[in-house]
Formats: sequence, structure tokens, C-alpha cells
Amino acid sequence: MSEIKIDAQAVQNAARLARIAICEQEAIELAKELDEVRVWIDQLQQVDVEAIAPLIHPNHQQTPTRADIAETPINREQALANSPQTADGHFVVPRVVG
Amino acid sequence: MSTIEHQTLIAVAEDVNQGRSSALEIAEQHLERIERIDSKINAFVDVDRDQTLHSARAVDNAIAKGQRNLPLAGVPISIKDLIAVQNRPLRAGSKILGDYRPAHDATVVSKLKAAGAVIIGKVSLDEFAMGSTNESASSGPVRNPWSLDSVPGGSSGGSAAAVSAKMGLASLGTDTGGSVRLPAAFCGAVGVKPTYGRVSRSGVVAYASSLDQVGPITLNVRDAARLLSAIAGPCDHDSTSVDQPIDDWALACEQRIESMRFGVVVDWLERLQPSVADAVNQAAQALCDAGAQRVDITLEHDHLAVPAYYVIAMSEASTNLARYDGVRYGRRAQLEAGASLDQLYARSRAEGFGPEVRRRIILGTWALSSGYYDAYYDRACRVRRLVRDELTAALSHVDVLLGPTAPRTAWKIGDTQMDPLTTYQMDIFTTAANLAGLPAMSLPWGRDDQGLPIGVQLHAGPWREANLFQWGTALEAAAPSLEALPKSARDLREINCD
Repeated sequence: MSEIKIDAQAVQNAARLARIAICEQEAIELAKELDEVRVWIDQLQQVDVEAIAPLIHPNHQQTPTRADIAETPINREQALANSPQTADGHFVVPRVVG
Repeated sequence: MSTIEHQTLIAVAEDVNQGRSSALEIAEQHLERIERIDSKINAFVDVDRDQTLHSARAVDNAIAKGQRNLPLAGVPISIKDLIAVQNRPLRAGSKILGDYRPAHDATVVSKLKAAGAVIIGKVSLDEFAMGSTNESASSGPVRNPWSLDSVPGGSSGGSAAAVSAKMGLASLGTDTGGSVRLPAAFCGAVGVKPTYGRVSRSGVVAYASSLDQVGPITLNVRDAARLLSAIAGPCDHDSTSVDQPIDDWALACEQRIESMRFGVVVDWLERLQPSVADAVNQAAQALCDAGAQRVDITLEHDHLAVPAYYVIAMSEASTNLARYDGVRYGRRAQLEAGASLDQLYARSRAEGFGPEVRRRIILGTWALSSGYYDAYYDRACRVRRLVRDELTAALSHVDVLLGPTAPRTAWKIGDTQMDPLTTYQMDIFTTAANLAGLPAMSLPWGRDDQGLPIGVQLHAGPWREANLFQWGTALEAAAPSLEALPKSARDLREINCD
């Protein structure tokens, strides 16, 4: 795994995917911290897991089904009540189409 | 009505049910204590006196009309501010939620209210439950009631500090990698992480969905059994909650452990603060003195639990926290005219999340991204299976495993040696239970030479919380009393809290 390293570019890429704005200096500092964590996490490479299936959830149960009955857990007013900006019963965001 | 110092959850519920105390008096007593001492501890982030007294009166009215046997009648309980209480601010220790107020109670809060509990306030936590010290809360660090310059542990640090300082008789925390058990250990309280699926997560802010569970923090084992009984059970709003039989956990507390077997993972006794090692050895001896049989156990993959946990938790967090976008709720960055939607997201999230949350989201996003997924997230999930299978197999031979909750006792607030990576490693004994979905409990076993509480931990097999309560009560009966020990902690707590 020695070819993998978290550098400032990798941090910028991940931050872009995560939609978190960071400046160049922050990316450099974060890369140093996160690469230390990455080196520690690389302990996981010591063990052969080729024949082991991933466990993504502790419980085996199937998604339970329930009766298909419409409910109105919140109304429009409640849904909009916590938004920082609304207009005419909608959330307001910057213009996304010309 | 008894003094706060001698109250227990069960005794208060009994007194209120029988009309010997009123819920209103109890609530006033605890509100007064919060007003008097919380400025020194900083556990509470929201106290609504009028609403609390209104709820208490409602309990008294129900009892006056003949309602009896409410399991939590008049019991003042604080709620970690990661759990929704209808129309009360929910901030998750973060700036990004702004003044968000949920439209509904979390299922666990509804269950508490139905059981007669009185919600006394919301308590602090590490931002989005990501931490072991409660220093990353946007409301500032919480102080450990046993030593005010020490951390209370995290992430449910406000819960444990409040219970320890007797501001409320119990609290609900959440445990993703030890966040109920670690602060319980650091503050001299009992903390239980139930089996994954035992308690509904509906209305609980998600950190890592395959790991998170709500759990009780109390001052004794029987109180924890009573409180967990009230919140356990399947929920239509959480498809990962499971309809499993709920044993009589109060009865489990009264059952003997004679000729039963417990395991000690020998590797867990290495590299501990000496007083923590002494505590675990004394606890093991106490169980043997009570007639139980000790079995020494070795776990081959246990040391990989913490790194696997951090990869999985950060990866799940990176997706769970994508919802905080500054659009539908919470804080929105002020942008110049013409800024794009992407800039709105990126700036709102940069300003709203604190450094540790940003760090975990970015590392989690990296571990899930193209080129790294197989080497990190997928591999961590495979190691998770190894850890789960090994721990479950060990627990098929014994009733419980006994060990430490943390390698050391609480450290000082602002300790620069406790950088993020060093702090992550304090979760060495707690994360395996979350990876495996198993129940575990931390309970006090005396204090160290600085007067700080030490926690010992029990693990049990899936759905076997009864074992935790049975063995936990046995340990509690043998444990050195926190109050009876000499020197600083008790004096300090009384000076500062009474």
C-alpha cells in the first residue's frame, strides 16, 4: 500500500466531493494530519481478508414491510419552518438554470 | 421527599407513583440544582423551566386520576442534544443546525414521556457525537464533576456529567464507538450500549447508522435496567430496530452468578494505566469470590477493531452528514451576488462544521472514493466481520467478558498530547461492541490516585442485556464505593456542586 498517500491534492478532491470549501493552506495542513491517520489505518493491510465477506451491517434481517397507508408526518409549513430562506411555499436556492 | 444526594431513579418513581413525592417537587429540586451548579460544569445546552414544570404537573395529574405503575413516574431525565425533542432546539453540538427545531419527538423521547419521565433539558456533546472529550461542542467544553479541569469523556459528556453531578437522575446518550460508556467511566456513572436494533434510532441525528445506538446513563445498574426497559423495542419508523423479546431486566439484576463463567481477554490488561489494571483485576477477583469461574481468552483480531471502526464510522458519517446543506434547515453562508448552488453548499458546510467534523467527513469521503474504496472501506468491513465473529464466538463460551472501559482515566481539558490520533486510540476497548452490534456496559470501580473514577466494562452476546444487568449488579455490590473513598473527588464535588 506504500504508493497510497493523502496529499494536498487528495484532500482538495475529497473536500470538493464532500462540498466543503477549503483553502490551499488548510489542504496542506489537513493532508499532514489525515495521512498520519491513514498510516495508522494501514494496520488493516496486515491481515488477509481475501476469503472474508464484508460485513456492512450487524443485523441480518430483511427490510420489514408495512401496510401501504399514506401518512402526513409533517405539513408544508412545518417542512419549511426550519429553512434559512423560503418564498411562496418553496425553499430558495441560487439560480441553477439560465 | 428525599434529598438529591440519596435519590435513585427507581425510588423516585416509586415515591411519585405512591404519592409520597410529587413530580413537581422533584422537578423543581433538580431545576434549582442545575441553576446553581451548571455554570461550573456546562453540561446543559437547553433548559425550559416552564415546559419541565408543565410536564411534571401532567404526571402528578395522571397519578391523581388513578394512574399507577408508571415506570419512570416523575423521574427527571436529560437528553443528549443529538436526540429530537419536539419544538426544542436541536443543535448536535454544531453551529450548522442553527436554530433547528424538530417537528416530532424521537421515539425514545415519546417512550420516556409515556413512562412518566420529565424531560429536564438537553445536554452537551462533542459535535455530531464525534469525539471522546466533549471539547468540540459549539457550546464549549463540559467539565468533569469529579475534577473540574478534566474532560468528562465523550461524546455523551454532558449526559454523564449531568448524571454524576445529580442534575437529573438519568440521561439518554448515544454510543457509536463508546460514546455512552467512555463518559460514564470518566464520570463514575453506569452506561449501557444495547444490542444494535434494540432501541429505535428514529429522531436521532445519524452519525454512523450501522453503529449508532441510544443508551442510558444512570448512577446504578438497576436504574439503567429500568430506563432501558422503557426505551427498548421495535419501532415502525426505524427499519433497523428489531422485534426481539425483552427480558425482565429488573429480575436479571437479582440473579446470582455463582458457578457461571466470565471471560477476561488477557490482551486487554496490557498497556493500561496501573490503577485501571488494578481495578479490572480486583473486579475479576470479586466475581471469583462470588463463586463465578474465570476463563482467560485471547482474541487475534481485536487490535484491528479501532482502525476498522474509524474507517467505517467516517465513511458512514460522510454520507449521513451530506444532508446539512444550508437549504432545508440550519445555517446558510452569506454569499456574494451571483454565487452558485455549489458555492452555497461548500461555504455553508465549511462555516457550519467544526474542525473534527470536517476532518472526518473528508477522510470518509476519501475512503469511499474511486481508487481507495477497496483498500479502505471494503477492507474495513471485512475486518469488521473477523472482529464480530471472534467476539461472538468468545461470548458463546462465557456469559460476559470483563475488561476495562478505557486504558486510562480522564485527562485534562486542552491536553495537547491528546491529538486526534492519540484520542482515537482511547476507544480501543469500546469500538468492537459497535462493530459487532453487541451489548456492553461500563460501571464504576473506584478511583485512581488523582481521585478520578475508573470504569470497568462488560460485554455480552447479542440480545443478552440480561447478562449485563445480572453481572453488573454483582460487580456493583463488590465495587469500592465512590463516595466512601477518602480524599479529593468527593470533597471537590461537594464543594463545587452543593
